Amino acid sequence: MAIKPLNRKAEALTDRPMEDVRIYSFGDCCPGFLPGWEVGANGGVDPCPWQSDLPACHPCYWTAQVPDNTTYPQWLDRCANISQDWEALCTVPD
Amino acid sequence: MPIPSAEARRVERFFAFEEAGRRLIFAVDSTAFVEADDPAWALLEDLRGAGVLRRASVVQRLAERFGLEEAEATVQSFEKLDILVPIDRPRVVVDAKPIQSRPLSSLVLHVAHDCNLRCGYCYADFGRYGGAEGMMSPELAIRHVDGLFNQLAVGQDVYVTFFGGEPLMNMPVVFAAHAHAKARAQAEGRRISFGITTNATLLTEELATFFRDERFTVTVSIDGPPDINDRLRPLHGGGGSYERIIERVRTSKIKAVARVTLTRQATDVARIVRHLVEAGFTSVGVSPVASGNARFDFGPEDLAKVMEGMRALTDDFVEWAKRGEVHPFSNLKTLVEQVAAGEPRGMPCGAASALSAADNKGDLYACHRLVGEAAFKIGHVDTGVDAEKRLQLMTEMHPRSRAPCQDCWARYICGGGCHHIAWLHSSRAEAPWQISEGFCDFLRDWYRLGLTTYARLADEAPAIFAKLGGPRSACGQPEGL
Ligand code: SF4
Ligand code: SF4
Repeated sequence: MAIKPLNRKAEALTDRPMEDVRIYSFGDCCPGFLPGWEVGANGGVDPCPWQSDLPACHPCYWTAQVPDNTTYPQWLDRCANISQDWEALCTVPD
Repeated sequence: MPIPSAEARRVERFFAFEEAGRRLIFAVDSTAFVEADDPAWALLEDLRGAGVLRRASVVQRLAERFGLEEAEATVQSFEKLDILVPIDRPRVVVDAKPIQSRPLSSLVLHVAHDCNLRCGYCYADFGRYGGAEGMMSPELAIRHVDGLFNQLAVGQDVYVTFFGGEPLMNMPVVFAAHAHAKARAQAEGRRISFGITTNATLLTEELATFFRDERFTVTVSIDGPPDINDRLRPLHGGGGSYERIIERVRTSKIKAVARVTLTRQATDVARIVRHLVEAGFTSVGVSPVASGNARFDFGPEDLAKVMEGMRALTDDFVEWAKRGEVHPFSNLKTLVEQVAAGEPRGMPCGAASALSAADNKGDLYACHRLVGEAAFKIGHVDTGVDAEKRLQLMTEMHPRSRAPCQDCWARYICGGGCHHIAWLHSSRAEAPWQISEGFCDFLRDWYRLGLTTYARLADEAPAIFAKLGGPRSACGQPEGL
């Protein structure tokens, strides 16, 4: 392998079959807010771990970080019930 | 002769660097992070500064050194990474979407514009935020909470943070606003979380129990060991606050997060963080001061010193990881988690887009640090959020309006930097505001250090990733692309 993927995005990209590569397929995967913000470290949604909000307020690190509604105003649209549908948050809708 | 379009490739932005003998490539727009072997590094050299390339020529040049098979595989891997892309493919612009506003979800209540400490660097002017000292009344706090709730979307979650000044100086308001917000959230079927940022000097066991039962995230401001903390964080009547803070935290048995303000009078970040970790804080975060006062704000030498300390802490972090433990230094932990996920971050934070901060005059601002600054006022409790002003501010302060960010390799790790710092650095009333070059160099060094640490962990202690936060496995799947 010419390159060794180090993070998950690199894995996802290099795992694609070659025919996918010509397709415009850039994944806007939860950009702009850190996933884990709405979901607990163990995958649960309750209690929502505020620790994960904390450092996300960049670079001030106060406990007041919130998702990036500006770039992705529709980030929540696919989730009627966030505690059940949170996985749908993964891909930001177009 | 022009290159036929099926053959033509252009090069997307990447940041390549060598560190401890390893050759690392970070794709700027996708935030994919990889390690390169010899052919890949050679290809990279070929691509540097190139405009439009003919694919066959690229393969051929590489094949001369590494053989055709290796060359083809290497070029393909760069295509998969979206570093080498067909010329007719539209450019990826992560944050090209028009700016829209949605209901705010988070409110920081400045319940006490007064403080029992007198930290010289306080950006809040000892809790006064440029105004007269004053406490928020319970009625006003409740109206602020109602203002937040009244504009929420159906099912939207809520976050309320108590802030000051020193919020423990005004507990009746904390109790009142908490009870009201909790009741409304219950009635409306919303999840709600609370947080409080305090200097802990007034913490009691009863309060600690309340915070624990109500699942508050408690953030304690402390600046390090006594010699540092007490110089920077004196009590109002004189004397240091260290003993008092530690004693209060211990006796109240609170589980607290430590939050350190770094100033030019306290740049030894390694000693500070190590001390607080030893003192038992489960999470320690540091933040450079932003006071607009040369006595405290960093100069280039100070930033270099801070970076040295950060570097030492990355060694600690890797050592802990090898033992299977996550080091409490939260800045690094978060950065490593962010690199692991590889999700481009379009914005630094939710200021004005999801977050607001309310003061005791009824005004609403873009965030807790921007309280009292007219340019960042986005509403008032009597009239609600000023939608037009808010959207205008969101547009003006979006990182895309900051020229240096457009050419920055760290753009989508950084998110574009704190608006408050940008505003302080720009010393002008009108947007766009911009973070100073020197500070951005510091930020980029930090992001590079994060990448390097991540690469070390991937090599030396990969098992630690399972213990790091976030349900990252749900993201970054090929099918999610
Ligand atoms: S480091 Fe500076 S220039 Fe780069 S994205 Fe962040 S704020 Fe913008
Ligand atoms: S503008 Fe700065 S201080 Fe305010 S929320 Fe954003 S990162 Fe934090």
